[in-house]
Amino acid sequence: MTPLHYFGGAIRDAMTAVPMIWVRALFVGLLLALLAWVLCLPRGRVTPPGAADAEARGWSSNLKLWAALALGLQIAIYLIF
Amino acid sequence: METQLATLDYLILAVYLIGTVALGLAIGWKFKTGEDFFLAGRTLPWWAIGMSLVASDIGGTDIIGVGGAAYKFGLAVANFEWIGCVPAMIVAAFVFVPVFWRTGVYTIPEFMERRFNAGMRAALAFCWLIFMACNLGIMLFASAKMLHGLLDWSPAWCVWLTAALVGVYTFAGGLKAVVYTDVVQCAVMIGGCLMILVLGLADLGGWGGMMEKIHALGERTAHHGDLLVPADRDSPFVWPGILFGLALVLSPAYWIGNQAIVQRSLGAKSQFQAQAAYVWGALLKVLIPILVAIPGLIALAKFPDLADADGAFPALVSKLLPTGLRGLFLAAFVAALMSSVDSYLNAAATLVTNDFYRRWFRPGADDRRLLVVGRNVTVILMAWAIGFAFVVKWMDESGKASGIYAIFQTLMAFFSGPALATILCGFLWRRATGAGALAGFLCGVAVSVGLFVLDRWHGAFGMEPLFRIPEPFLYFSLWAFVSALVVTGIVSLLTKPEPPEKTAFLDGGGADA
Repeated sequence: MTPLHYFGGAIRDAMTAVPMIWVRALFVGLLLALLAWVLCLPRGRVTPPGAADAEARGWSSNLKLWAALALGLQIAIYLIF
Repeated sequence: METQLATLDYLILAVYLIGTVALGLAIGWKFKTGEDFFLAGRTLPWWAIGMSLVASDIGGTDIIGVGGAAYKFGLAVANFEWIGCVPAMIVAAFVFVPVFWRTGVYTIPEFMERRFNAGMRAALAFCWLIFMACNLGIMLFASAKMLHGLLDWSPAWCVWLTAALVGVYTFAGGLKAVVYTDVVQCAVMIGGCLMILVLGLADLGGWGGMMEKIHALGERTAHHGDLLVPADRDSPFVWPGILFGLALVLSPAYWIGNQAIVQRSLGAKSQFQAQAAYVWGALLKVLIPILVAIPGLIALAKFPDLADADGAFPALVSKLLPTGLRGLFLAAFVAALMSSVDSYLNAAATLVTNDFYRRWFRPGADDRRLLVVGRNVTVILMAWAIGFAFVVKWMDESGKASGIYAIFQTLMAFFSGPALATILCGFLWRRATGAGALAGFLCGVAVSVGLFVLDRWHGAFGMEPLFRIPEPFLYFSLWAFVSALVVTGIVSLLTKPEPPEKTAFLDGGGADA
């Protein structure tokens, strides 16, 4: 056994000790944090340049909504399975 | 695993193949410049790029392999498409892709020279080129082996056929042909896998009926419906590897730093379309595991005693699909094979032409010259890939290729972690220097190679294995990433800061959006 093995073993033991309910919370929490970040993005970064163009296309040209949909589906999946 | 096909099935397959090549040729005949060939003249729409991103990511080997892994290890394999893709694609869409597009670069290594130095560009381009050149041969051989299994055609003939079909339209149409044929391939692939899913679930009485049958198989399949696997389980998909190795390192490295992936967004009509493509791709990615992983579970419920897990998908094709639909599924499978090979072929040609020929040998080469060089390089790379595929075939037949696929999977993990570390430093830390990035990248690669050698040949060093899971490439990439990050930080602080123009892109600099 080398120091690398002891180091790896300690990390593995620590990971094994984490209850799976916390693991699920970690996965879902990360996705929720990302969703919150997406929802806070300024309009200029998620819509086409040119306000008139963006307004003409309406909500469908707002990437924030589609990204939130993808992340929302991910959150649902990681909560269910 | 041979699948019985009728004349109608072959006819459908032939129509699909001829149609794909004709589409590629029709796209490429009026190209005049290198920008047309490498970046599709920056005319690509978001919907085509998004579908191409997904098609390129899912190869034929993935359809068979993911189905097989789901059969063997359960739903946990779907992590590779869900948390292993969607978050990274969303972050890429809003943070990295806009900058890449605005700066007007052809390749990621070119971007790394603008941010850092020529050494960083050369090192990254060299690593990607070696990987892509080897991977092209491996993909051709793996594809031929699977076609041989499904159709009983000679593997050598399958290598020539796949190479000729992909080579012709990639040579003629460059990135544009790759993307638009990928659109067709993505649609056919989704349609083909959807048929299997719907017919399979209907046959088993829905999701509940399927899981009931799987749980009745006993302890070995008791957790097949779980997405998250405890750290002490004998599975390659335990949660620490999935979270820290895949979701936080390999996945961002792939979606942000892989030339074969990012290149199509550089060919978008506008910065917004490049971003929209990634978001659209992320939405499609939510669907993919349902189409490729769940059929593995269906196969487990229907055929629990298959000797080879990779036979799960072909078994379903044989038993579930009627004549005609089998041909359509086969077209979907071939579509998946071709969409991955064409992407890597075009990306490798772009790297050689842009990061070696134009950067080091002919800096003044005009755009028409670059088109000729790009096409010639495509031919040379395809010839190399065919040759390498036959070398792999020979090694496989003589029993010398044990673990060669895993080695090449691991090869990407060697440098993608360090590459991500340097890209992140370049974006998020103005104090990061070229010397720091190069030192960090090289150190990261050395760490991952060192871990691989110590783990794989541990007996020669009189040691126990370093990792307790099979093929621990997720962990190689994680530690390589951490090492590269630390070394980049230390060396950057010890060297002279870069001039402000190197980080101007962080303030919105670059070509007009």
